[in-house]
Amino acid sequence: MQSLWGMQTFRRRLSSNTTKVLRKSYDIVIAGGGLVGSCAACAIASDPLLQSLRVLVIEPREPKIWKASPERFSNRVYSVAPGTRKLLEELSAWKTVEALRYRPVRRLQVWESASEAAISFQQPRLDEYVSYVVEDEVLASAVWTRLGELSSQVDVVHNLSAKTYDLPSRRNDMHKKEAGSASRDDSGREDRVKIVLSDGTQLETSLLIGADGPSSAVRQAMGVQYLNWSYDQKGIVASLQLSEAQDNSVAWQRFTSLGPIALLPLDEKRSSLVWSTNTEDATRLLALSDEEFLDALNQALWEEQDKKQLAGRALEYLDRFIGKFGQRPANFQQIPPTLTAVDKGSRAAFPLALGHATRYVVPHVALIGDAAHRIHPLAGLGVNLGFEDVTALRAALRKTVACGAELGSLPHLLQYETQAQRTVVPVMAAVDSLHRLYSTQWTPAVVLRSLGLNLVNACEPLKGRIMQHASL
Amino acid sequence: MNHCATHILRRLPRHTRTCIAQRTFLSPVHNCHETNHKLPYSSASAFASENAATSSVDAKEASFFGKMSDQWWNKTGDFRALQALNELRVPFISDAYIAYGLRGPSQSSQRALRQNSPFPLRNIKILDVGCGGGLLSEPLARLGATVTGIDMVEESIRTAEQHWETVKNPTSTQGDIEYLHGTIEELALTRAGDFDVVVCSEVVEHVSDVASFVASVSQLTRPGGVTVFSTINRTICSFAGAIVAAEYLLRLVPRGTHHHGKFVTPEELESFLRNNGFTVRMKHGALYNPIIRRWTCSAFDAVNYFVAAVKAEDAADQSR
Repeated sequence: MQSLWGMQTFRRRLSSNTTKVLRKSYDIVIAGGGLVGSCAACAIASDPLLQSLRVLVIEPREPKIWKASPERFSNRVYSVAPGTRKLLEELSAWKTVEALRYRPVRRLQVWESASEAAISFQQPRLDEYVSYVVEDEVLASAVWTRLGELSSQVDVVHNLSAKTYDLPSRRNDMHKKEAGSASRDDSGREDRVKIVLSDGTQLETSLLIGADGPSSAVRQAMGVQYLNWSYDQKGIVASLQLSEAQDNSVAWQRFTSLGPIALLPLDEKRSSLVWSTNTEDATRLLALSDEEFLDALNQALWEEQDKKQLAGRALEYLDRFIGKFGQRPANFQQIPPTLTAVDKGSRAAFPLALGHATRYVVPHVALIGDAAHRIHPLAGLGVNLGFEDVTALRAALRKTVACGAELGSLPHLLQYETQAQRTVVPVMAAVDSLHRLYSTQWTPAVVLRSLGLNLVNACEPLKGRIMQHASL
Repeated sequence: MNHCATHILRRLPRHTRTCIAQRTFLSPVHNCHETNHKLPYSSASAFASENAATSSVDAKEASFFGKMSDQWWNKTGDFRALQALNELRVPFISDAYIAYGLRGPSQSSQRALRQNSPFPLRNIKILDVGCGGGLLSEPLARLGATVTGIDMVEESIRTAEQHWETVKNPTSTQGDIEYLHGTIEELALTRAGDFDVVVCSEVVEHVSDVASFVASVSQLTRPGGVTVFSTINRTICSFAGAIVAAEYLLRLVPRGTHHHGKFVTPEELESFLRNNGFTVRMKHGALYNPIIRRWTCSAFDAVNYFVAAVKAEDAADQSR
């Protein structure tokens, strides 16, 4: 079984990496060896123009060993967009996901509790999928396995974090203060990031990539502004058993007054739950027994008492109106699967927040992934944005190298920032607006959003555009 | 020849590629600094005295650039636009060489190797005429080239040497740079035919005798080698753009950096190159956007333009 799951080589790699002697100086240091950080390391090491760079990944956690079990599913799953799959395929990491397990999503069905409005997204071709549901551990081991194969170019250090980051931009600020406002010549100054690790090791690098998550220490060292607010919500995750084996290829999402509930397919008999609700309700739900929790969940998925009559009437008229002008969208009367059990111990909760660094780069430093931006999980786009950052950063680094510019020079990093923010900011705004739009029960808002949703559902070209944006 | 060009151009950013494919092109900012080195005369003192008779401008410029020599690497200073120009001129130089300058057998496989390498200019000898503080020499060395930078201004050469000491990466496979203080006429006496590529970026607009300057460039280029010029056209647009806008309105470069009368048109430059055994292979315009501070390739060559030319294999002694 072990060899089938391909984890043995993975484990060996990890242990050999941890004993590696570190160099004094690296071209690139990546703080944080999570999904996005490791993926960035793979992307750099597998690029023909960048592979001569020496890369170090600093991962504060233990090397994670996945105890592979075909029976137990992780409660933490990602919805991997087609664009992210393409990147992973390019990096030869997707093959590990294929060898382990993933579930393609053929259709995404969204509906709400306050009206009959519904929308469904589906790729026009049968062999294309809306997204792929992949467990955290599967995705992590795919990226880590690839990183292990690239160990001649990438050093990885575990169980250590950086104690201090000494950034050239901050040093220059200090110099400027000392020297007044006189313009200074940059030559002769060390334009390198100096890092001291928690065991006292000192390192230098031309480019520090901050992939160290929402409370990024790199971001704090950069001193950039970080906009953030908490949604006062928690996401409850769990693995659920379905009543019978079925073609489980639809992702379901229902907006309720307390927050969206999503069911993502894991296999024929299981789905994964992401239930966003307010903190108070989440505490209550976590305290329930498995049976009570299941009842509460089924009620939240099925309850009709929030329905607004006015919205129902408006939708009827709209339906007739659309019918006059063209084909009514196929009305999927398909209903979400019946849930019969919660996997023991799979229930957990995490807080939801929005965060955005106003700058992703300063000279010789760049932020990627959650360190730069964090969004509500309702569209399942968070990790995909992180992978999108990797693509944008790689393009900027390729350009740096092709122009013979110094690694980490600001003009090229700014090109990364522009590119990444062009993707992130609209998605972030859309997801936050959706969250706000659906957290109200005010009847006029319900009527308008219901009409809007059904109109969009009837308009295939518009849906295509939306899907294109959401596939990154 | 265009097959090669398009092939090579794949490594360029898309917009650059398009422009180059159209064979129109871009060009740089007024790289005023380079002025001094360009002088075709043989030594600094001879140069100053000789010019005193015809024009004192060059000598004044030389001292002007001498005073600015600590500004070369200032990321927010007068040379900012010139620093940004590397994004276009470095790929232009390496593409021109890979497309037209390779020698020896199996050129197509060499070409493919270099295109996908982080060191496309490995083992190539490049002369950077009017190197100033080394803004162009350093990136070329990072791409693997062995670079000789020459400049008339001693202070600039010192700045360049110091900067390279602090940034060079001794463990990497990148090339190295030697900086020389002097003129290319002097250099041509000892190193004739020594260079695979001779780069004169933002230089000819500061040279008083372009014909003899190009002749020296030709002497230094090996037969079959490549020379790349980037400079400013002599048009109404260039007066408005490179002088009025850049020096007076936007203050991108210091006043007095450029003199419209010394600008060289592509036709003139081409004829000088032809007379010295070169064939022009690539020509493009470049435009600077002062808001985003980036250069883009353009078909519009009335202000800045780039030219790449190949020296004939048997042209060793055609140059006067």
